[in-house]
Amino acid sequence: MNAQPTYVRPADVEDAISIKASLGPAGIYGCGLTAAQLGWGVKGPEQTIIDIAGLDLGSDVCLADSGSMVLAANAPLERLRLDPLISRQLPWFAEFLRYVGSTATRNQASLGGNLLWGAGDLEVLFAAVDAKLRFAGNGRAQSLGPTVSDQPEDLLISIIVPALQGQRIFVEKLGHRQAFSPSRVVVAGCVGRQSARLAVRLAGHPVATVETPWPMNWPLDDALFAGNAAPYLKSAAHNLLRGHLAQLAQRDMA
Amino acid sequence: MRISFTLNGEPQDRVVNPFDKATSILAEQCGQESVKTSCAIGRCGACTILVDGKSANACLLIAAKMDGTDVVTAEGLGRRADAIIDRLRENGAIQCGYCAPGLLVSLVTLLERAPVGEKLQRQELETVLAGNLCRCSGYTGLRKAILALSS
Amino acid sequence: MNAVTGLEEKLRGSFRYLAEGQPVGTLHGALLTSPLAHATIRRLDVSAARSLNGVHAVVTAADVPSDFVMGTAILDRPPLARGKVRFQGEPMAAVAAETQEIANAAIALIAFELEPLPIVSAPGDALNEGAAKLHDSGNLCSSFIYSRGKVDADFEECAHVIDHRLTTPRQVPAAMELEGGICIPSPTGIELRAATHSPFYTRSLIASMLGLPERDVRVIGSPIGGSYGGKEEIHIQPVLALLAWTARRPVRLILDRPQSMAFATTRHPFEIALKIGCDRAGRLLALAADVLVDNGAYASFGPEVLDTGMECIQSAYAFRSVKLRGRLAYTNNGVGGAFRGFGALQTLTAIELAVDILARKAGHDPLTFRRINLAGANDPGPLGQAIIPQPELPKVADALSSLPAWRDETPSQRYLSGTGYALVRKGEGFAGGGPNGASGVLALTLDGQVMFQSSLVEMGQGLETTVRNTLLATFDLDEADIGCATGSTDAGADSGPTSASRGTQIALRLIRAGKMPFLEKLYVGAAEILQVPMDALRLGPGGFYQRMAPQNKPDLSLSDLAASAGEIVTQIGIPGIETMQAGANVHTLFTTCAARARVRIDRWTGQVACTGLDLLPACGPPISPVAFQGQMTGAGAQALGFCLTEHQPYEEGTVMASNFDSYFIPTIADVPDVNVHPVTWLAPDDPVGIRGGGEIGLNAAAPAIANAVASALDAAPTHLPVRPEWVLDALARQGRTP
Ligand SMILES: Cc1cc2nc3c(=O)[nH]c(=O)nc-3n(C[C@H](O)[C@H](O)[C@H](O)COP(=O)(O)OP(=O)(O)OC[C@H]3O[C@@H](n4cnc5c(N)ncnc54)[C@H](O)[C@@H]3O)c2cc1C
Ligand code: FES
Ligand code: FES
Repeated sequence: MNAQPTYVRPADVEDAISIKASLGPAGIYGCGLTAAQLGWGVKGPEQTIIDIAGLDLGSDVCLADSGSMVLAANAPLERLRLDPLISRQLPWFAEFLRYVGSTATRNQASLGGNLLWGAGDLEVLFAAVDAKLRFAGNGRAQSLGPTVSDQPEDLLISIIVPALQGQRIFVEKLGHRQAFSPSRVVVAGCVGRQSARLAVRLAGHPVATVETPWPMNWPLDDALFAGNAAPYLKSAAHNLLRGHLAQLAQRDMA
Repeated sequence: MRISFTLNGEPQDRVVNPFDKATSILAEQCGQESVKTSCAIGRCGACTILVDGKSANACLLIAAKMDGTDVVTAEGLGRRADAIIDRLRENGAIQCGYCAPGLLVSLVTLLERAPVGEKLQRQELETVLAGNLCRCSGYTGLRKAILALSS
Repeated sequence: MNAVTGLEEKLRGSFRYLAEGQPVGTLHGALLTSPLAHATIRRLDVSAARSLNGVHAVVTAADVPSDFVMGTAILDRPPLARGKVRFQGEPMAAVAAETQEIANAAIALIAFELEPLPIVSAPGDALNEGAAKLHDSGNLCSSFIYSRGKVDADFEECAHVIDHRLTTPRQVPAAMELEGGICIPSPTGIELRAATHSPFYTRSLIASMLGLPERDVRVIGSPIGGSYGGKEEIHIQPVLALLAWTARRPVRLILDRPQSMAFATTRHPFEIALKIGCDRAGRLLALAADVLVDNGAYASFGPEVLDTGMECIQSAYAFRSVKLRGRLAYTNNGVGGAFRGFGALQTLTAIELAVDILARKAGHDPLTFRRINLAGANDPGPLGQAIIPQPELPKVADALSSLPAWRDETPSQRYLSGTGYALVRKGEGFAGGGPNGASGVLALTLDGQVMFQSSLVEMGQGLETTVRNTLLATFDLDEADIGCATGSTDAGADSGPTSASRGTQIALRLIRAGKMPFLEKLYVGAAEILQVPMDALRLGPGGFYQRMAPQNKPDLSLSDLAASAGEIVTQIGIPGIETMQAGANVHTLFTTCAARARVRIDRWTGQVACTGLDLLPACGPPISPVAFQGQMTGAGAQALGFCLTEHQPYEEGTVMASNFDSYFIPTIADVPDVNVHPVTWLAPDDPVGIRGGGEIGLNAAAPAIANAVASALDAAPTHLPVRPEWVLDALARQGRTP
């Protein structure tokens, strides 16, 4: 409809959805725009940006009666990192956020954008804990994975981290230096009494997730380590998973 | 489009292309040469500014998003930066200075968040400043300056 | 005391770098650069760009005198590609226009046709028979040969011999301030504001390109927002000057980061093959070295870098015999140039690794092994040249041995740690033939300030503080009485380049040399005005005091002196401290430094972190302690990058890292606190009394870090930066994988 891509700030969620509906593929939701911009080139975006950063999608963090945590899709990552409720309930998340972008980037970047742009580090962690994404409209809540495209037609409202009583979580990112680096490998695991859920991403590949019984059988499923990835990435990922799991197993023994 | 925002306390009203970067709006149109461009992709911190009190990379901030915000650059920090500047001086934390305004902005947010007196953990300091690259100093003087202020 | 001048202004953003604060009406510059690494330019048509509204100048090689080429030892580089392009990112044309958008649009309108030529992507290939030639003279840009004693016989005599090969990274200076500047033409000349280490050299070059008398070219070369050698080479100044001179309007031209990553000169990758041996007692007998250097497309400082690297390859040790060969080959991989450490960093890292390997093999600890093999205080220099004696060498070795032990790390299944040492020396200033001498000016200005004027430049290293501290120590004056002017051709005194760690030495020696003649003029003037004999006067804070009448106010203030006597000026010239040696470019003044580093190696990922670094520079008592400290800590971080994170790879002539999302400079989380332990003792009769601290910390830190990796892994790195792939392989070979 309008040839010249532009920028709109919807008044509320309904407004956003109706703008998106009227623009169709010529419009795209955006939040911090830190990832969206990477593909823009000098001329700016090819689609109109519907900026959802200022919408009220609920409070950043909310502890539901079920024990699950509901996180607003447009919450900036740095605010989540410093949120007292997150530090208490999901300390591994707060800790991991140190390694996602820089402080300034995290002030601009949102959780939803990270999970949807296609190569976000948090995707691995949230896949391991089997977080659900709740989209507007049909109210569907879905798991992270290949079905969530990086340019969803629907507005992501919130992310639900299930109650994780008794589960041990680990997550680690391997970059090119000690901080503020694109990732080469991200591994995460959520280990319960009977089973463990592991997720891995090797740079340039999609997230792979497996459920395995716990204590687990070695070796790890090869499918976790994207077939054509560099051998180094595979061994580093393998060692990281093995190392973290071995530490947990040792603790279980003790 | 037309945007209005405050810059170091002064109201601003400008006509911009929505996808212009805040770096060029601030440095070229508003004369804030403290807002440096070095990488232009959010990877060096030379363009760090405060937007509604939070640090942000001006090179990743599009003009449209500046509308309605309160922007502060290193030039507008005023007294908030006095104590830090003294410590940076004593510890030789700055050399060529090209990273300095962006660094000062990050430092102010860091130190205002952790009240002076409460010991700032080394890890937290490194987390908050990892986005401000300095090619000259090796960061030793910087770390000493901050720890001196926060201890 | 500030380590650097303008600190508060820098932090608060009111400090102006050279490409900022352009006059109203300044045009915007833009560059067309080559997308190919090696090609013949078949067509370059700028007519459409020229006729675009708002465009004031479009320049190509056709606008540069056809015989104008740049370089130091070898002149081979046109400011805009002529006939051929030799690296990706080489400028082919430039535009000045009323807005940046118009300038960019004009660039897009330039029609060109490039016919690809075979790409020379490695120095070894470059020297093969039949390789495509970058220059008519062939691909061997320069070479180095030296031998002393009977190497073969000495190897026979050795109880232990080892070989080691090391390939070093293409490290990019990557100053935060990009290359660029502003050029303002007048009817007869130009004013060029762009970073340079050597304002007079830049002036003569630009003047000759434009066909102007030198006096009509004014060059302001500092302050600089970081250089580390990167802005020592002529960068974009000629193109900028050409645009402004053609447009007859002020022009501002600044590279963007991707342009800079391709265009800026980088540290040369060295492929170093070493063989060294020692006798049963652990005394080093013989060294054989073969070094091949990737020079990139133009000579730049390559020949000097090769010579310096080869001169330093013996580090601070006394080998009985040596046989050295070095070759510098043209390739299509960007352009190598000056970068802090200047060839010495590469060879020192290699030899220090080899020394540790040999020490371990011979059953000596690395500290004792270094100690027993140090060059003697009065030995000739590494290439047999006369040098200033170095009695400080054993003191540095002692200081290294007596560093306090590290705090113990908690043992871990995951991490290995290792400690490494290095003890190195490198020549300061330029080799014989210079430029090693310098001029400067001491002046009493009309407003009563004692001013030191030179063309040395301030780039954050604290030159201005050093000058001020030296003035205060030389003359009994107050802060308010002294001043310093740096970084331009204005003073008319060519102090030579501010590089090769010579800035401090030159400033100090100029002020010392000018002191007596300058004071003499002041005293004569003051005595005449006060009508008293000279020996009844004393210069003190604010002016002249009569000796007999103690008081807190001068009898003749400096400004009254200047008002009556006029400006008092002393031109100063100092000769170079240099040795000329047939067949080799050699240094005379050497600087020593030791280092200790600790690393932590992640056995899971192969990632290496540097967790501790001590530097022991033997530079005499620092004139500006805070600035000196800063030179060392900054050097530590750059050494860490060289060893662990930084490399600009080329694939078939294509730049692989074009910004900071793929080129990784250490962050605050990567760099440990660098502890500096200056060894201040130099021989009492040392002719300078200090050494520059610009480079030596880097040259010691890098080999110490590399040796720490070697000690943690029981395997010496063969490539830098250390690749985690290699670490995991090394662990696997030893059966130490987790
Ligand atoms: C300098 C820099 C460093 C970075 N470092 C890292 C890093 O270390 N790790 C990492 O994982 N990422 C990193 N990123 C990538 C990215 O910026 C972040 O992942 C960030 O969280 C994206 O959030 P955003 O709000 O800016 O997303 P946007 O750019 O606004 O959006 C990204 C995508 O998600 C869609 N989208 C966003 N929100 C919604 C929503 N609510 N509903 C529907 N669709 C939506 C957009 O349409 C777009 O396709 C970095 C980026 C930069 C520029
Ligand atoms: S210029 Fe904005 S982060 Fe580098
Ligand atoms: S002081 Fe030069 S980059 Fe920080």
